[in-house]
Amino acid sequence: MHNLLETVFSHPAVRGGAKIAFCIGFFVLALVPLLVILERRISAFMQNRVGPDRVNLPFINRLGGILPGGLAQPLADAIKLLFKEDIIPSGADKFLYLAGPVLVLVPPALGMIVIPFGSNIGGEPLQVAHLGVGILFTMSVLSVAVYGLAFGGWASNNKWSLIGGMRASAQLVSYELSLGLSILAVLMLSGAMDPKGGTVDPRELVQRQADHGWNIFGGGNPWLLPAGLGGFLLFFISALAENNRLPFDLPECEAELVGGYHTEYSSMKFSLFMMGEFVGMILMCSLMVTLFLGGWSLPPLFGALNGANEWLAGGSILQGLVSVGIFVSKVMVLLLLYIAIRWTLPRFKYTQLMDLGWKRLLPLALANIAYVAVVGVAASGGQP
Amino acid sequence: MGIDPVFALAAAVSVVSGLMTVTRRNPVYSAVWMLACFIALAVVYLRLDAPFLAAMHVLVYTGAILVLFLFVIMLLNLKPEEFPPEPSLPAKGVCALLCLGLFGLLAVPMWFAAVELQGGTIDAKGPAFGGVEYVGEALFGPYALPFELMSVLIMVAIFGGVVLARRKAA
Repeated sequence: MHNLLETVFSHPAVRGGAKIAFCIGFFVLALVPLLVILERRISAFMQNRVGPDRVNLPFINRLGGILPGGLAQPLADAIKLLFKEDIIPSGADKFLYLAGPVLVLVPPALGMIVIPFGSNIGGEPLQVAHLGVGILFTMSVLSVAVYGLAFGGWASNNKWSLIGGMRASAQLVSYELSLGLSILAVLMLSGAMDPKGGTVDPRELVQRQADHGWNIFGGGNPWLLPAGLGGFLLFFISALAENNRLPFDLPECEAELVGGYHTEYSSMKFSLFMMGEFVGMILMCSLMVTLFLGGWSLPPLFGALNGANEWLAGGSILQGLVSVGIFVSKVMVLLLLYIAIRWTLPRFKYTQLMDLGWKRLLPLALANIAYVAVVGVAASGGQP
Repeated sequence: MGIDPVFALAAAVSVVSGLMTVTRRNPVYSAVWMLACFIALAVVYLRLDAPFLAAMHVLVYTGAILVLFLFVIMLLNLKPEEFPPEPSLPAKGVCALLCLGLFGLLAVPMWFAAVELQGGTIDAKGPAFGGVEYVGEALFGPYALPFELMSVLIMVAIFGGVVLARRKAA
């Protein structure tokens, strides 16, 4: 039996397929419903309500009270949405109306393929595609996601939808700048300490962080600590705006626009928009973990964890799974932070959103790059 | 040596969608076809071993410039009766001839270059040729001056935009 498994898994197509299946099955299909129930239960907790706690998983029935109630609520919601009437407004542009939800969900799911979600199992790196352009691939795929919102908003033939779609396109273009610049800074930062210079390969980025220290702490150079922390903050704020999450959810703010770009959508098409938003969050958090928080590695702090990262990269099935667990836990912490922020901060005005993006974050991101460039050259002894 | 089917398909899609972009009367559809054209072009770059160019093309043109186009188009939100009138047949013919002429000016030298290359071999640098490292070293090494001059050109465009915007406000 063991030999049979080994023979099957020695085929590269099978290993690739397994990794794709994990990427889609876990990060898209399993994590999204979990996030939905977490979002609802945490918001209820923060607002002193009970929240959905009735629908439980069949047969296990909360395992004698270990599991919280309501875990099966997203499943019930999905079944309900499937059976809802699917309305296409008569004035809508059919093709673009149908393309909208697809264009929202597919790009972030595609962006996941370059993220290394673990160290390796038997020398097989836990990353679906090892592309030469690495992080740039995710960035470029992400920048396409805005078309779903824009087309959906325009094709609905509804003023609220149109305004939502326009807000989304202006907002995403504005914040992509500071997002891209903070990624640039962190790539330079990780190149400053390495003789091979900068890299855009996410696997190499994580390996360097495992060896020298996380990029958020300056990648092993104490002088770069402010750049790492500041860059992470810039990235986090821009990522909130890119995902249309509160306090930046103006494209769909229900107080003025009903639902913004998804006002006219119903049934599964509506839930595709929701899924796209959550997958976008998961991708952004995975990017943050990969770029700043060391991917699957543990922080080499105080010498107490020396050797832990070597153990994680060991290559046995257990070591591989533990590294995946570490990566997923980091992503989950960031996602919980996203949710807590959503239920803490009020929504900005649109002028404030544009001011923050263009007048605050953009200059700060440029200053961050300049700082990394100067200190990075100084750290490498003047040798670029 | 046969033609790479993916390349051929992407090239065909880019040409067809480019034609559709300039012939649609609804500007939103023009933008949609332009999006298809840009993505097909990115695939063409990928098949030509230029992954960095492909990623940058999608990031800059698809992800930023076309989004701004779409934003302006949606801001105007033209109704069908406000679309520009259908041009007359002679006007269309002249435009088509001009375009074909321009295309010919580009295609003839390319054709002769391709015929010349048939005997020899292209200096193939392999997949690394279009990678981030190679492009970066080329841009900041031998081509540093033209690269920096390009940024001056873009600065001029920004100044022009500011001047135009101020004149309108006054």
